[in-house]
Amino acid sequence: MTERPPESTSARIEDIFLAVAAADGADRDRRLDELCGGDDALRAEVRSLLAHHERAEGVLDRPPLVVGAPFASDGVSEATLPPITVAAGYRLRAVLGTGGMGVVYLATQLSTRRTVALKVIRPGTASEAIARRFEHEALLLAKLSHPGIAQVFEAGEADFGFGRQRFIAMEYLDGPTLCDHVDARGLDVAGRLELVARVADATHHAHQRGVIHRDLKPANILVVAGRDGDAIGQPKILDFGVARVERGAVGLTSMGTSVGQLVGTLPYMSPEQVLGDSDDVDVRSDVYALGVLCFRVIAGELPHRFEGASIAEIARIIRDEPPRRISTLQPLAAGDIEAIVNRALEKDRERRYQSAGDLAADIRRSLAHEPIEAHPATTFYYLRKFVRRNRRVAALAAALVVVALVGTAVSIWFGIDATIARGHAEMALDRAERRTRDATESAAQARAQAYLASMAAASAALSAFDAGAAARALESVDLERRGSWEWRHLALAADTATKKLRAPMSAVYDVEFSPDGRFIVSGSFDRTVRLWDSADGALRATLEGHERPVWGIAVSPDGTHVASGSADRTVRLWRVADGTELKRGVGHEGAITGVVWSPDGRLIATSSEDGTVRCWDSETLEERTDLRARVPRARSVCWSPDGSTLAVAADDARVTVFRLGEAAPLATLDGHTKGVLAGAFDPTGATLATGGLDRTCILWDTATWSRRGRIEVGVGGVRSLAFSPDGASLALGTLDGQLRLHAATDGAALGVLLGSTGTVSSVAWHPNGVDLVSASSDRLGVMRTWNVRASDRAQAVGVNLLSSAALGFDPADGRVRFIDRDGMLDEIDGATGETRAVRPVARDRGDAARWACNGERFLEVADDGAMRLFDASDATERRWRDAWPDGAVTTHLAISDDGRIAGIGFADGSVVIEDLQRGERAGRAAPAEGPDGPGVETCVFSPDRRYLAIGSARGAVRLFDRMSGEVVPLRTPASTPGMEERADALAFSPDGSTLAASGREGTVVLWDVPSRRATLTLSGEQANITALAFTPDGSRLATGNTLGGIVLWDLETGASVLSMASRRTSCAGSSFDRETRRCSCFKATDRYGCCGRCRGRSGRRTHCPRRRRRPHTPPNDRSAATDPGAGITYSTASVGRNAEFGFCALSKRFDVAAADSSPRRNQPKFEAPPSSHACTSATRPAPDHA
Amino acid sequence: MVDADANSRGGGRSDVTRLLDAAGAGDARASAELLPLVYEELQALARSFMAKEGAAHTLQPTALVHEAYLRLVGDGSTWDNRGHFFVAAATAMRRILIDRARQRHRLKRGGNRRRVELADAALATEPESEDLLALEQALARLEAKDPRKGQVVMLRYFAGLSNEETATVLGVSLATVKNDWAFARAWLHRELSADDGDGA
Repeated sequence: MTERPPESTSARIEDIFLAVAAADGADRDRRLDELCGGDDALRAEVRSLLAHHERAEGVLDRPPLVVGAPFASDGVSEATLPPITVAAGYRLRAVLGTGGMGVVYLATQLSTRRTVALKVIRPGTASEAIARRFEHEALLLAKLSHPGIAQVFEAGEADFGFGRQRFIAMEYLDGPTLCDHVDARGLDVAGRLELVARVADATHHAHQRGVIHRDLKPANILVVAGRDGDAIGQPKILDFGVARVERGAVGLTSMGTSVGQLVGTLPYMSPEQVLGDSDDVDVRSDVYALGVLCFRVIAGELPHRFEGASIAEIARIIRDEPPRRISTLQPLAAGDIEAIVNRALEKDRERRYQSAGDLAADIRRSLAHEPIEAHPATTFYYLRKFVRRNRRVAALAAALVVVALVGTAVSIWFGIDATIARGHAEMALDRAERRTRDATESAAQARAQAYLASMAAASAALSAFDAGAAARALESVDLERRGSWEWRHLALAADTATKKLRAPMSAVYDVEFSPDGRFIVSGSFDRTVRLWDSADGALRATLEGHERPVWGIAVSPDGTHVASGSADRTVRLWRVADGTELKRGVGHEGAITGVVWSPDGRLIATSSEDGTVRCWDSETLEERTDLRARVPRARSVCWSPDGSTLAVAADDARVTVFRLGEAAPLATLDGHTKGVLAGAFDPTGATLATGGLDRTCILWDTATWSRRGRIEVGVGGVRSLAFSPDGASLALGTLDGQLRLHAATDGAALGVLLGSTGTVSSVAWHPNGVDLVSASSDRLGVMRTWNVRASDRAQAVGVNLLSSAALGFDPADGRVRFIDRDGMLDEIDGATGETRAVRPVARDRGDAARWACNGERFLEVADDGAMRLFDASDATERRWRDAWPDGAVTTHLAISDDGRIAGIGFADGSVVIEDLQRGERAGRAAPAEGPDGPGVETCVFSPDRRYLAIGSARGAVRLFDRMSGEVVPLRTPASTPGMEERADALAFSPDGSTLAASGREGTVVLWDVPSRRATLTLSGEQANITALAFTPDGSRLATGNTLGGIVLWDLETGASVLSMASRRTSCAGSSFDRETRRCSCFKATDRYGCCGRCRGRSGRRTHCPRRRRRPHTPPNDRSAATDPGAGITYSTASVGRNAEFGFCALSKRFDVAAADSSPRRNQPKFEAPPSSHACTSATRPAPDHA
Repeated sequence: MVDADANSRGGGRSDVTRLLDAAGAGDARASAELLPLVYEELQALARSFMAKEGAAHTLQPTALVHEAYLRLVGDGSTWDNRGHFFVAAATAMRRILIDRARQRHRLKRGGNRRRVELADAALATEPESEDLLALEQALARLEAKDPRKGQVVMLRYFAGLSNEETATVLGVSLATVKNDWAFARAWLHRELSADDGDGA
């Protein structure tokens, strides 16, 4: 170290330093000499400081970063195929590329022999958030279907030898990147422009569906051969979205983008993107990127020169400097093209094209020599256009130099998440509101778009069990739209707590039930302990005294006292009866992290940040010598039920077990890889469960202290856990707001209780073993109580349905009643999902009879015409009639909503109307094509009974007007696939004005009944739609398809607003064997019960001994019915007539009359997760003939 | 765009606001009490963020500090007593970062670590833990010499405040902050490079 001048001169040094530093470079030496005079030491000192002043990069110039543990290589070989190459129905063939978070393989989908690109997320590096983004991305990308976008086929999980990994199967594209393509083909300017327009088309398609790319660049666009030998080629956009950290519960945003990645992306980033506000990015940022892309493709260079610039410099250039004139690089681009490019490259996005579609349209106008929008229109300009349009433009393609691509061909994952979609929609909304032209219309469109995006975002979030994201998406919806069925449905799904206890805006760290379950105790950040009435959720008392947040609380075994431990280092004793602080325990030298009462009530143990665990007399709060153990960074402590043993969980990933009275630990449990946050003994004391940041919960055998089991939570770390009083279930609260239930025996996931939006800091069971309370440290101060048994929400119920028509909703009690295949009348309690057999009703005829039900009455008509009518509630027989004299074969039966008339369809295509009250024939609809025409497939009465709609096995839908007696065929709009073939299902809207019919290939046509005109065609469903139901207000139509999907459509816009049983291909998981079936069901399906499907796919079909009497019956019987009273959509299905069972999905009930904008408040709610119960009941025992 | 949730969440806000008011009124104990609260909040935020986002992500202190501010103080409060908060936050952030750097340093030396990919950008851009630890020592020397400069460095570097914000917090002119920063930066960099030479 050099000798430094004494401190006394330091002020002088500083002055000179500042003065010289402020001078220009050339002037510096002079100033330095001037100021230092002859003092060489001083000069040397200042000079050395100046040298460091000028040094470009020092430690202080890089902001420090808070990082997690550095991530290590997970052993996935990047260049070779994994150990297992066949899984999830794919065979891996080669490695296409690797990225930061995964590998892309070339693979063959075995079922279709299709070649796909399989992106596999690495198991080791995938944080829960990445995994979730991955899933969201798959969901949103699956919505995109455009020739210009690489198609996503499937997303799921597979094991290639590194544990379960998520994957996305995408269209495999073999083609050059955009720049290589234009170069190789030597495309002319017009061809290049058309290519850019096609990219803009595809981008626009994505924008309309709420997806912003954010990373458009030539490396992300491949070109494949176009149709019909089109020389221009079809661009395909890859990799939607760049890595972006979702706004999580902590509300942080940060660009987790690496520098290397930025380099490839920067030149295409818009000014608002380089400004770094990742929230403030909308579709117009993509428009900017398209402008750069256009410039690059036309001119062969970028609009700005960046050679040798630092990242900061590049950002500044993008922000401040105008682009070069494209005509200086490519003279052919002068005029229109330059105007178009400049408009797209405007710094102010208000001045850019407002959509990628506008840009594409302008490019095409320019190609057609029509006036473009980008130009300030002048007479001269229009004149010139007119002249040019009438003359062929010589295609003189200059040899364009294509700059070598920066960046990698296979970029890393990208995060399309719900937030982006919503953000985009909100931007669209803002923008639309600002626009003057067509203001009303486009605002309405944007609103609709924003709404759809919010619904999609909420659904996607719920699929990922992210209640917080779902709640945010739902809150973004306008108040007046919140009354919709889907909004309320999702709102209920997003918060399923039975009660909320609200501490005033303060994180709650610990919560307990009293031993008798009558009150709940909480300890919170605001330094208080609160007592709540567990019956009504009312706050009973607030115990104040602690000087710091209360981290731990414990209730005495007799329920009379509460102990609390705080960051103020004291433990205090309170009397429940009057809330008095009785005693104070002092001694800890750090915050107390956990408090626990001994089972015999005599002792209290505390863990603390001071590295000790101490024991206190529970009456005097004097420290006892029974235990004084050193456990560094203890996070919590728990007592074995027999009181002999204490387990301490600590941040150093260890669990230490002590026996009371012994100083040395009884055992040290190693097994966790990160900090352990929680521990609990099961009621027998045989098992200790511990959970922590490593996202696992370990079950230890307390006899041997060896690991007995392990539960992988797979999401955020485990923050809290509690065994149910019977020891059968384990409730786990995670850092990311999930409250999960697992079977204590084998760790199988039983479900997720959705609702918490922040870390579930504590969870406790009511002694009844049914109710739970959880606390959340998300600072909203909300505690939730849950009931794990009551479940009136969507769940799968296995039913053995006789026929699609043999079920109905009872408008009086909301119960679902149906006839099962054993001829039994069964009922399902809508609130609990419990199925109960009422009594046997069917004669021994099996399939020979047709059924109809309006909810109150069942009607049965046998093949020979013998008819019975009986009450749905108790099967009381109302009416009986003998067989037809002529032996006609009935094919379908319908009953009017009021139960007064029935329609009986025949194989010859005719329908007879029966008056059920009088017991006589009330009319007949003649067959469409004479006696040998197609049989009646389905028929349905309009609510006012005037019309009967008839669908046949062949030919269109007919409408029988009972007033005039005529039968009118309804015309299907041209180019509606499938409708001519067959109408599978029919439904009238509640007011009778609209008729919906579904055909093959997922098409639904709606007609206006009075005018007989087709008004709307819904398409987009992949599978045949076999069930239709209107919501009671007639604004939505629910369709059920053969794959088990239920989709809700908005009839105003024709858009699908909700997809309830998702058609995600998740059931195709490879590990679908008997042992893991339950687990797979849970993971792979959503909450609406795909169990039936799972079962069906597993191949365990059973032989149906019954004779098949109706060869025209579709293989998948299903029906949907709308509960007229309560607005509940109910759907059921049996998977094939020879399968032994089906499933039905019960959706949440709403009381329409009481519905307000916050239906959560009044309703009992429980998220019925894909619990094992549901799965078990759905897979009811069947003879194993497989 | 501020997360509506973040705005409405204000748990402990009254606590901190009360302390800030007291500190503003000259209560030294109050400002001492502030530190653990802020420290706790920052730790919790960082931890919860890491837990959510996994180790692959990095945060700039400025994000954490401002987030903590929103949570603990809220947006609607007066600016009068803001200074104490940011001083506490910078101090807390410094502790957190230095603690983590020490941990990492230990890990490295202890070899208790799996192979780290060199391409890991998070590591590449982040000051090496050794740098941070050296900076900590140098900064302590600077603080002994000139406490105000120490504070400027702390606020700018560890809390990520801008010059303007730093000036407001310390109640000095913008020029003073700029000068202090320029000098302190050069001085610290020289100290650090001198340490390099010493080491080897």
